[in-house]
Amino acid sequence: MSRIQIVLIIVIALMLMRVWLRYRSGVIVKSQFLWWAALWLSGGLVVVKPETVNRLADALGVGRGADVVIYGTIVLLFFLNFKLFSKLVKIENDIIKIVRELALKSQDDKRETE
Amino acid sequence: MPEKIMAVVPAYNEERTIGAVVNDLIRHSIQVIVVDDGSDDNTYARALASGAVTLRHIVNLGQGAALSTGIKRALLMGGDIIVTFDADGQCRASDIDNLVSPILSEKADIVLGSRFLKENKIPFSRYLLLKLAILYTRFTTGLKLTDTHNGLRAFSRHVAEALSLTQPRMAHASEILKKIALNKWSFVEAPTTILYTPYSLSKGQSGWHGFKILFDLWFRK
Repeated sequence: MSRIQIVLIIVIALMLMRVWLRYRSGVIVKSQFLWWAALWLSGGLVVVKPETVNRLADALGVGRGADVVIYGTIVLLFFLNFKLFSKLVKIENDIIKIVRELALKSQDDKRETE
Repeated sequence: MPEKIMAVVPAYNEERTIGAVVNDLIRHSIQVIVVDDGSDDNTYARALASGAVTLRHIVNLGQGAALSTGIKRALLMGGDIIVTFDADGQCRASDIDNLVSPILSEKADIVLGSRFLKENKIPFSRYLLLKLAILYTRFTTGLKLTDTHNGLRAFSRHVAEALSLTQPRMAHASEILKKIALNKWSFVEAPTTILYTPYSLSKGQSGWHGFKILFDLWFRK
């Protein structure tokens, strides 16, 4: 086993532990836990047995297994980024609603006390 | 019964000018609603002391969101015509008569201020940016306007009720025009004076803001 494999396995083990702890403390729900665990476990599989992605690369017509991983990762990152952006817009819209309601509400209070 | 005209003034860190702006409007017997958009300075106290109905966003949301809050308040207070007005001292309250008369005579539901229909000294960088915005508007909405980003506008009550702006920041100006085109609301332009002062220029929008506006327009609903 090469040094990079050992480093990556340690990193992945730590990430899996984090995911587990997040799940146990209730920060993420079961479906989220399973998704993240599956993601890191498949990463672990690729590190331990790189030839698995080579087969996938051949099937897809991509030169090397490592390239398949990189392409897949980029697509995944774009997807997560989009989800995050949508979530931010939603949160911003919620904040606007709350702040607006507060602004209009405090005016009503003031009128009543006048 | 005379129509009730209300001015909505969104203000963010405008303590230097807000008092004079509110006084100018009140002198023209227009009821003023200032929306302090989470300012760090004394904008709220100054606006209140000048006699405006003053609302406060506890955090800064952006001009579009502040306008929406103000319009909502104006509708609750029974405004018949709602005018939007800048807090930085660029607009003149004396222009409002021209702005509301097409609505009073039922010629239009919306009146948009235009600095290009009047002799105004406009700095070249602003001129270029505004002309680009006008071309963009013509391209995306088909509206042939002479000025697309003027803070002075007037809406009839029923248009203000239907407007519901979703753009919280500067893209609201384009959003309003998009909605005019979409709903086929009747509109006219009216000449307005714009006074460029070093202060108003420093508070205004530069080229970089144009990109931020486009980002909001394209990626926010």
